[in-house]
Amino acid sequence: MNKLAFIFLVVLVAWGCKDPEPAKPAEQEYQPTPVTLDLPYLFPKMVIPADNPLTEEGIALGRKLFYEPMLSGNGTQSCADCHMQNSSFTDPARFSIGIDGLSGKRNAMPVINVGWMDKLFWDGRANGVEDQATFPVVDPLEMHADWDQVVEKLKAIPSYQELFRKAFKTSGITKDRTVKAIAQFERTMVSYNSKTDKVAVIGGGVFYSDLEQEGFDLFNSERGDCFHCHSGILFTDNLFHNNGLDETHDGDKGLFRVTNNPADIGKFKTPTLRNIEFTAPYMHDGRFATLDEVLEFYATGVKVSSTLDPLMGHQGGIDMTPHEREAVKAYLLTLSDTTFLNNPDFFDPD
Amino acid sequence: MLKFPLKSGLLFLFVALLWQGCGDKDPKPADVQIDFKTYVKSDEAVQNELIYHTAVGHYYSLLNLRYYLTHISLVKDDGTVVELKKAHLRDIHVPATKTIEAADVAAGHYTAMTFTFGIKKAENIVTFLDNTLANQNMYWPEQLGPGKFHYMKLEGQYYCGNDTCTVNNYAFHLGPTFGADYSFDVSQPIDLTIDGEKKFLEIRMDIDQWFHDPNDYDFDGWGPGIMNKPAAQEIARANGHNVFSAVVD
Ligand code: HEC
Ligand code: HEC
Repeated sequence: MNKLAFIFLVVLVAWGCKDPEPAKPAEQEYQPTPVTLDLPYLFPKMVIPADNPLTEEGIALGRKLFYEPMLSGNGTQSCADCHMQNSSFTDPARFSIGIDGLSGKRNAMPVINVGWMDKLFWDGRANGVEDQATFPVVDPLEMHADWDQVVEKLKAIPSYQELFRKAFKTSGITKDRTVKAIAQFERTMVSYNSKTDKVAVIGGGVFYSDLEQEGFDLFNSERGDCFHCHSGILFTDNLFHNNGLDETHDGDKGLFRVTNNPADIGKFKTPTLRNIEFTAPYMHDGRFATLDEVLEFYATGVKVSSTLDPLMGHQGGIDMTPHEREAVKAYLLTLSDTTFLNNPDFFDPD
Repeated sequence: MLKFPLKSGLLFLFVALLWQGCGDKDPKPADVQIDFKTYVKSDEAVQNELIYHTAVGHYYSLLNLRYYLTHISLVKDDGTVVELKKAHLRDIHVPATKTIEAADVAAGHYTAMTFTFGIKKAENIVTFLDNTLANQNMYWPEQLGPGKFHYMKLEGQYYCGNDTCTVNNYAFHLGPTFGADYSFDVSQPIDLTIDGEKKFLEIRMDIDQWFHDPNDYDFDGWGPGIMNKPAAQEIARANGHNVFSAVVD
């Protein structure tokens, strides 16, 4: 009898410890549809922040915001004005022009495969894709707006309230949710349909031409050495290097502006080479108009300075013959992915 | 409130006490933390200063260092091997790679720490490591032989120490050159007893040891890149014998 009472007691106590029933979801709450990116197996795992999972509704809202001129001070400029799809989401102009007619000293970067980046901009000043999207809106050289005003403008539009409610289970529009939605859209902007991707499929029946193969071999050799920085399937290590463009760095000091470490003077983020055919002009300041100029630089123009990357051991350049430059260029062009440029999922939704 | 039956209460207390008492007799497993440290001779290495010298007379600096240790294990006095981590990529620029922790390592007396520097030939395939950006950045191109990952990328600058030369770069990249296996096993004696209390160990790499004993390494002679130079890989492998040490804190 006593034993029974004991068991009864234990059960009662355990029952009491149980968490209270979870609160019932509010009647109006909308459940956004989760999305998993279906990427080829060679692509590394994309780390998606736990507080911003991909959903169909979030991506759709982000896409709308990416094309939304209301994010700028005078309502005339959207992200897409400097990040154009037919240029692999960069700007064909050397220096983009902001709403006040001003321009900076840096070439716009392609918005492509940014989901793998934890440091963004040429100097790495943004930490992650969400953080990055906060910058252009307020940058006086770009959209020159005020986040509070942008949020107020969006709030005044019922359709946005509805889109935010579907994406974030609340019609509350905030700066935080705005950049989260943009980041979701950007994570879907993956290019994986180039010739190189097809060659990588074993048994896929797609092969490089002799010239492309020669370029591929040089790109991946100790002499060419491109692969050490433009590495892996993303064709960037997403790290910062001084590749020898300049002897002195009195102007743009790159990563140093963020870290204040003298060892970082003249270091810039390695750009991806995917869709390089469409992202001219090249380098952080857009100094080269063509790929031929870029290869000319790597062949003969590498400048020594105290922070020149150790991987640019070949001082002065790697002395590629004109034929070898053609070969490397042919290989770089196998990274072109026109399905990315024409993907209707990335079009202006309106 | 129900009244707690006295008899059952006593029984419960008794069992609980017994439980507690039992535990004390057997040695208990414990967590083990390993710190990866970089030395040059007897001091921890500093970055970006041309202050170290090689046997052939070059001054050199350390800028970047990334390397794999695989099958990091502890060996008990009875020969049992306990693997703590299959593969670890240490990058001196990524603080999170400085430490690893193994939970609930079996109790006992351990007399050695063992690991492989680099990745053994049979394992050096794409599926051996997680498909992360950090691992992709260690890819070894197929043109330089089968084998998917570098073992190590050690980079910096060097010069002759006077005005007769300029500062140059070196890239001491080790890996499976042309398909050969230049990885090597390391076994370091330790005296470590695990019994319930968290233990701390260090694995130290002495960079200086890569460049001499038995072979003096000449940055000028080998040039900026050695991934395509089997003889240089061989030298590094031979010099590697006393690069690593294990220390119980
Ligand atoms: C006026 C032109 C302009 C507008 C508008 C603009 N950008 Fe940019 N974007 C740039 C430039 C220029 C850079 C490089 C700036 C730097 O590195 O300092 C850049 C860099 C980026 C990058 C970094 C990519 C990388 O690889 O690190 C991302 C992502 C990006 N922009 C997204 C956006 C989004 C999202 C918006 C809208 C909220 C936007 N941009 C609006 C010009 C623009
Ligand atoms: C040490 C690392 C490193 C190596 C090695 C390297 N690059 Fe680069 N590459 C960079 C960096 C960093 C930039 C951007 C530099 C800047 O703008 O200041 C860049 C820019 C480029 C660009 C322009 C991309 C754009 O969108 O503006 C191309 C094309 C390019 N590299 C091709 C190559 C080729 C081909 C090789 C081999 C011959 C090579 N790179 C070797 C780091 C490297």
